[in-house]
Amino acid sequence: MWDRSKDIDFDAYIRGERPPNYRTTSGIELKEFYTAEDAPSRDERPGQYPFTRGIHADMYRRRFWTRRQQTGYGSPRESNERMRLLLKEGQTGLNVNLDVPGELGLDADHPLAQGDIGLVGTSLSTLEDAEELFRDLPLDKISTTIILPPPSSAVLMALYLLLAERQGVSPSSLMGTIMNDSFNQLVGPTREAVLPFFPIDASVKIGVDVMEYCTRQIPKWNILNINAYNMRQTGIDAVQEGAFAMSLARDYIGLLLQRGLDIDEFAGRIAFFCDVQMDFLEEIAKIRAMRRLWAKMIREDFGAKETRSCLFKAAVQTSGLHLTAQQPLNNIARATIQTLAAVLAGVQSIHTTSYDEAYALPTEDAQKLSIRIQQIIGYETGLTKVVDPLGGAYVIEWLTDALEERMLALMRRIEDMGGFMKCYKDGWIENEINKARYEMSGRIERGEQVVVGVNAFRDEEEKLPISIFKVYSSEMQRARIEYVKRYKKERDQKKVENALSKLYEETKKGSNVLPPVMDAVLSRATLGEICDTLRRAYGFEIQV
Amino acid sequence: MPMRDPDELIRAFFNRSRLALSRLLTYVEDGHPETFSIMGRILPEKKGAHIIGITGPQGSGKSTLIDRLVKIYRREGVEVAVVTVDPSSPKTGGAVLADRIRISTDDEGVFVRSMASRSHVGGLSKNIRKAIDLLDAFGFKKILVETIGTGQDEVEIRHVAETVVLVFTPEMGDEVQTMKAGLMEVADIYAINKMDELSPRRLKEAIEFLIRQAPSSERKVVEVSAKDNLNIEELFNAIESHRRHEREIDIESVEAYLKDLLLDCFKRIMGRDYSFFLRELVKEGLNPYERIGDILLNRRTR
Amino acid sequence: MERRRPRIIIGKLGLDGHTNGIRIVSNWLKDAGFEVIYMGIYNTPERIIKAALEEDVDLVGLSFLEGSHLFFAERLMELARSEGLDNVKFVFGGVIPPDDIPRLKAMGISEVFLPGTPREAIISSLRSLLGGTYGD
Repeated sequence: MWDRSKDIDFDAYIRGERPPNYRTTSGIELKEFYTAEDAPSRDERPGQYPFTRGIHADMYRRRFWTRRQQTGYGSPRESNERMRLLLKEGQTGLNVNLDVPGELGLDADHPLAQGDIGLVGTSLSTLEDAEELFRDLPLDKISTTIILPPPSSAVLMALYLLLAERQGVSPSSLMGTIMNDSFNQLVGPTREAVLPFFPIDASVKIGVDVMEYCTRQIPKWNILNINAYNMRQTGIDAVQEGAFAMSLARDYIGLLLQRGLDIDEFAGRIAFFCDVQMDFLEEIAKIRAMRRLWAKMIREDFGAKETRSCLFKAAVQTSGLHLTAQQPLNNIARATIQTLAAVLAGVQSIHTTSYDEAYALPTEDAQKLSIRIQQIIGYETGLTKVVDPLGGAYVIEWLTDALEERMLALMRRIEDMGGFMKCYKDGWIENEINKARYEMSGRIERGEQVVVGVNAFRDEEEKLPISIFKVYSSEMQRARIEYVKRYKKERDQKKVENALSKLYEETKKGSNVLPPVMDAVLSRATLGEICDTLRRAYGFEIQV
Repeated sequence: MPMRDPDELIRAFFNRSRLALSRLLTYVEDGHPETFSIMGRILPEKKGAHIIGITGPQGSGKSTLIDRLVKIYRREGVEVAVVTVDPSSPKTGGAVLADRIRISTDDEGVFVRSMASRSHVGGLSKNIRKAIDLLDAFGFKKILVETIGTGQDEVEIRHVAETVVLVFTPEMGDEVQTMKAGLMEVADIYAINKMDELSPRRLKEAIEFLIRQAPSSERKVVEVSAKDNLNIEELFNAIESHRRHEREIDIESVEAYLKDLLLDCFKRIMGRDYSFFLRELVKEGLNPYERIGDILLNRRTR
Repeated sequence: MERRRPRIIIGKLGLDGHTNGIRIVSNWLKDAGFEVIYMGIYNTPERIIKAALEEDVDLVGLSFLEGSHLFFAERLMELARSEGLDNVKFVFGGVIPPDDIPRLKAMGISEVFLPGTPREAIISSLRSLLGGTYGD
């Protein structure tokens, strides 16, 4: 590989370039080429069990994947503006994500929250905020993904349901997802990030409360989105991503069955949020393998009877980990390739990460470009006219089998150790992540994994060609703090106290928390106050 | 303005400047040439702090336990210093010191210093005694020293601490048994951590094992759960009641101290000739006894 | 005099819970002979400054991924000054818009490392901030 800092490397042509190794990122050795012998004929078809080739027979021929770019920063009003802009530009679904205080169940006026208000998501605490966020957005026409872990997910679900009521929309028309994953949403599942703000078992219980409520009351709503993306962003490989995600799903399914629900009532409402990285063939095979694994697990292990239950629904985000600060325009190529892989893999919705990800939240232009990338692939390439175009390609089928096998082996190991949740609490997951983290950084350092612009083809004199979106605004943060303080003063305090007491009692009793949370929200309690009540009910204090 | 001059530092030290304390800790850790005179002026001010060694295998929960103990001392209005020692990489000399974060340090009445073992063979930091003396002279009444619990430092802690607590969990029973001889006898108090996670039978086995090892009636066994804050009071009481007013003279410990002191004194005498001397010392044909005699008796450094 | 080891605090301020970067950099620095006091996440400026004082560090390295660097830089440097930590050098790393760098430096931050900065560049930069203290 040549280095621009030197003069022209005349030996480069004769030397030639080659890949640094012949393995996939997860370590599977690749042959020179594959033949029919490598891919046993299975006669699998899209839309047929075990759905390796796609969960529908007609996939994008009938309906493109959902374009679902994440939005959300600053105040609810700013986020609402950006959401409407994106819908105008062709976005077809909405993502709602709160800032870090919101994810942790804190209001803007919490002493720890100050520096982080509104930076990576919307700052939201109140019913008024929620109304502002969804102003002029008809909840019966759009599909919304709420990206939050418990206990905040319970509060947002309550807010959403109340808004729907106000818009006159019946629960049966609501479409969307609540992520609701206790382990992975703050970052990759590192205990040090998750445990200080809410006890993990209580978080899981509240999450399952939300899942149960929605299963029974909101027919079109997805109750859980396993966040494999965050896990993967720590540096683990495709096999671990798949196995960890499936094992975690298995644990949640067990808990829902314990509530007396039937597998077919809820399995069809569980979805996954996966990563798409740069190893093109492997990432496509990974999704296909996960589709097959899910279908088999639901039918064979859990005895589901409905087809709908066996469908592996995948939302993906193209990997932010691989986007570089160096030569940021390169990231457009990367995001395009990753989006292409997602389309060829047959996923249900795609967030194409913006090229300035390594610098800040995306500018409007960067986000528009992300949508355009998806539109170009959807309309100009012809790929949407055939379902699973890579089906039958020898290497793809071979890799799908190889990944399935490895994922299954790791899933069995986790099962033997007591399941994902236990492994997480025991620190085993953390260890695996740390190992993977260091290995990845080692590979990049040694050049075994090439990152153009970073460890190869560097441009020491590059000047930044892009403009950066500045979210940080001390005025915005101060305004939010003032707003929350004022809100807490200007309301019927008795009403709030009563509602929070009721919530406290019901929580201690072990009832489903969603109804009392809804009452609390209605009485004008804030997100932080509701979460604090839940903490107290579990005898928990924030430990930072 | 940056304080560097030892005299200035000592003045500030006696004015209870934490910054000065911290810098002097660095000087003694690094073997600053003025160590001998620094310690000479500081030692008379020692107030007889209670030095408590906390040792045990990795993963036994020492840091969390220390945090719990510190909170109880603070509740009693006592200022506490904690010194935690972690191993340095033998290859690179670097270290990651990650014990501090497990202790609640926001309280002004808590002072925490992380030390790396550096190249010290024993596992403890070579100059830790001086560090402890500094903390004592500064006014901390309780000084907790956390060590790794592998290698030989669990024996060395005996020479440094008055009360030694050995922390382990019953699963580690095997590990603890195969540890260096002398480990089990080194401790005054055995703390079995994670009692909440154990079946009664295993716990019972662990305790019985310990009682066999520690026939002396002075040794105590306490079951705790650092994570769930269970029974820490009992451990606290055991530590407090262990504090003897009449301390036996531990010859080995004093001798080790003397060795340190003599070396510091020697370095001071030699001044800049010290490194030359070290090279000389290993030269063939040289009689080190004669040479040293020369230096000490005749004060001829070259 | 025995050779001293450079001491550096590595950690994060505020509510950002990503530890990838700081764990990897801590390891790099250990391998380069530094004593790293690993402070992890969820720190306040007060906690970091108290640690810098008690541990007598030469450097403090903090990582920011979410845009709160300007907010915290101000508070941090204020505290450092009032505690008399004139010798300690502060460096930031992470997702920081390049045009914020002059402002950070004006506040007293010595160096800013953007994502993808190679290991050797970070280490040599830190070493030069240490000056000649370590007789390397």
